[in-house]
Amino acid sequence: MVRGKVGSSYSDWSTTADSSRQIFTFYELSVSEVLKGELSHRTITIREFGGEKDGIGMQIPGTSQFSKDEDVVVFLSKQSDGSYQVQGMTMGKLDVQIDTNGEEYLAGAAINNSVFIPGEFPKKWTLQDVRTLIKQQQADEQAKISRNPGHAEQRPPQNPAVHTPREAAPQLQPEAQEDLSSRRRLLIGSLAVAAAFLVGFLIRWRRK
Amino acid sequence: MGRVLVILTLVTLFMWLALTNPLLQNAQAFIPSVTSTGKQLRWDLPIHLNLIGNPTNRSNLSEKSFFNAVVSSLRQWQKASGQVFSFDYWQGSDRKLYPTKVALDGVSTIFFASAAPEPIPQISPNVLGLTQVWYDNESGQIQEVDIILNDINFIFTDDPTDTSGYGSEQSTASRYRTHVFVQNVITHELGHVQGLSHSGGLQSSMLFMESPEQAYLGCDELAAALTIYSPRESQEKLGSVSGRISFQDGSPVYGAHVLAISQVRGTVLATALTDSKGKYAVRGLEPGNYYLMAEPFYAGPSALSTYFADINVKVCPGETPFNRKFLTQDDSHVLTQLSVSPNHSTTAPPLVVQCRPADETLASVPNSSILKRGIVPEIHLNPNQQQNFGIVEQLDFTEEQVFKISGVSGNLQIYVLAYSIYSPIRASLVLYDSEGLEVRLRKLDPSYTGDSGFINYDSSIEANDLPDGTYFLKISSTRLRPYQYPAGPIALDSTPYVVLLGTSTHASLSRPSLVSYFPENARCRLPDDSSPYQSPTSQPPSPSLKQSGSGIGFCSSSPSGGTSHALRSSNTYLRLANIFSWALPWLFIFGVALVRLVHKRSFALSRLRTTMGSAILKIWQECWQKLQFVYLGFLHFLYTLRHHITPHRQKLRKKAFS
Repeated sequence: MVRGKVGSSYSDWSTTADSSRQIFTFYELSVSEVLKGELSHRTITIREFGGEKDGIGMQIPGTSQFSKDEDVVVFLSKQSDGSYQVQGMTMGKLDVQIDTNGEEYLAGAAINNSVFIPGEFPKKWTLQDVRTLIKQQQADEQAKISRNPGHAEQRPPQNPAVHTPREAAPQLQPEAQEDLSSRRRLLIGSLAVAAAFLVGFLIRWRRK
Repeated sequence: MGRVLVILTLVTLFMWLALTNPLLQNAQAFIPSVTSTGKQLRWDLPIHLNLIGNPTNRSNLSEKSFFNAVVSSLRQWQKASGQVFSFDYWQGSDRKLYPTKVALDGVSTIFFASAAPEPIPQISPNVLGLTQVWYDNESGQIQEVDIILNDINFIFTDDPTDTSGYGSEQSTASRYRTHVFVQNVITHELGHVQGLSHSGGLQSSMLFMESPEQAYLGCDELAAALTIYSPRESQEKLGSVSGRISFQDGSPVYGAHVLAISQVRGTVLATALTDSKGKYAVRGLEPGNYYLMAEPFYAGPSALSTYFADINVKVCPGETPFNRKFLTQDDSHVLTQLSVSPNHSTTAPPLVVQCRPADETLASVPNSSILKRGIVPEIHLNPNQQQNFGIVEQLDFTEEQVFKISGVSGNLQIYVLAYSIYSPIRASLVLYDSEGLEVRLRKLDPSYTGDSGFINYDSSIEANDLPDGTYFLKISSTRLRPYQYPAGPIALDSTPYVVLLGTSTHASLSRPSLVSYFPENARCRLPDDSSPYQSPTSQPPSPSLKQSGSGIGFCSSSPSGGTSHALRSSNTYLRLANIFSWALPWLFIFGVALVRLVHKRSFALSRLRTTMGSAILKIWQECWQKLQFVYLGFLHFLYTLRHHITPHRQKLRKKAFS
């Protein structure tokens, strides 16, 4: 579980464990804090199902969407190609917001429904609440293990998505990976056309 | 003549710019799935879905139950589309004939995750089901779908009362339930198959969280299916409401959820989402009177296609969402009535939303002065004519509120909406005459109760042959719990409010005009079709190409995994169409120049064939002289620049509020 800022992104094909080719969107995440788990790099690649490539699009309604420069907390699982996948679709991404007191809190589909007391409305989950909760959970787990050393708590099985794909996911380049959109091509074309005519007009006008 | 032609050129150019502006076409009815450029995902007509199902599962759900659930859901969508959507469904357990693989392989499938040969990475423990939609990203044409149901983490049943979510009397805050009525999920996922995204409507099958009664299409889905796929003759019976929503500084609200409330039905009939210009269009409405409410799309952009990634509901100070707002007259409690007629779009007045102090959650209507002063609000009616009224009022959780209605005569019908528009109360009505005696009337309270245990706590009363005079309407409210609302507290308001819709008339009370399309109940639930369905006797379609490291399916493959022949063909047509539309103004200019030259008798058309070269040169010179190229080039530049910078404008606006 990490906090970070979303950078550039691109979509491309990749193969999953069941040998099917899927379109993924790869996002660069600059990690500012590791809330749970371990991470060896400060910049990681998040892989989410869905995207458009080679004239084909693929969507899975409910997958997480990321925008550039978003400050997010995400639940991730590592894939064998080195990228990380968001767990729980839209529930696995939380936005970091700042309230009027300057306190950072989390917002998202998962938070709004995770905790409420009947008759009242959900509390605001601050980042500090989350850090405290994680520490408490880790302490409880340690306490259980120390009480029953022979019966360490069974961890849930690893995400079955960790497989060796036939081809590794393309790595993000330092510079922006965005393809030129058709609109950008149109912009350049129109600029060129308009510039050509303006120059021609000026030349003709001067000759007059 | 020259000046006229130049003016005509410019007018034509601006019209062309306006008509081809894709942003204008994005005022979305219902909430569709869209491509990255905003094109709606939809099947090409005529639609015939060949769906292959594999019932193998860990939930002990029988093959027959699964078959019935899939067919029932498909039939609902078929009926909702006016029979434009048709299907064939095969089911079996042999993986070779009934594949359990998520891939772009030419076949559309539905199966359980446990039946897949390899674990499906798309499935997470909290995900009940998902739909993978493949489409042509130029046109938005859907090519293939795969639906996976997560029986690894959930248990699918054929009991309509089973739900993992909130929204029934059985919902509690603490119990996490893993038993889910399979048809709830199938009907929802088939909505994605139709090209719909998640909805924010409480009674919608496309609500972003699983909830009771989702097995049966809601009013919004019927309106959506009619709008997308129904025959022209059906669409000509429907109307729409369009308008714009902005903030107080005039800037547009992107991603506001707009709800159209039907006067005659007393229910939310359809919804829409505003585009980046704040514009919306609620389509698929039967003729009648409507009232509008706008709210943030509380589920957020993650519940929608990537195109809506820039939706930001929390644009107010303190990162809070803007407040729910009703379209009212002069910011009063009187709702603005909009009349919808067939094959016509009614333009609503602009709706301006506002922000609230950060310590208040989801506050909605302005504070009512009535409660504080103990005044009995009065509704004046004219006894000599049919009158409709709509008001919105803030209430207290515990106190009763009385309204005085003067000028009543004949028949009176009143709906009270609270639950279905996420007000945290159940409102009940009692009518008294001027002597304080309770009037005998027909009451529908609650307005809808479903097989699943879902209850719509709105209510209505209908009284006939009332003596002329003044009456008193008492509204009693009972606090409801968050878990009684589908999607729980995510969109629930903290402030109780009600919408009162009334009709007083000497004539018979009008009934909904399109009951054949929208059944007459608060949820528009279609009658069940339990007639037996027979799968085709032929073998189901088979995957057209085996998956390999380079191929991707359909009829052809390329080393880079490029597009199929079918997709390339459609791309070519679209590219040609795009080039033509872009070149149209230039062709027009050349045409105008040619007309001028012929008019000036600079050359004769009969000689065009032999003097093509000189004719082209003359046309070029003509355009050059009249500076038309300059105008055209500059306008093209502006048009392209505008579309290029619009997405960035959204981000700038976000920063402006942070």
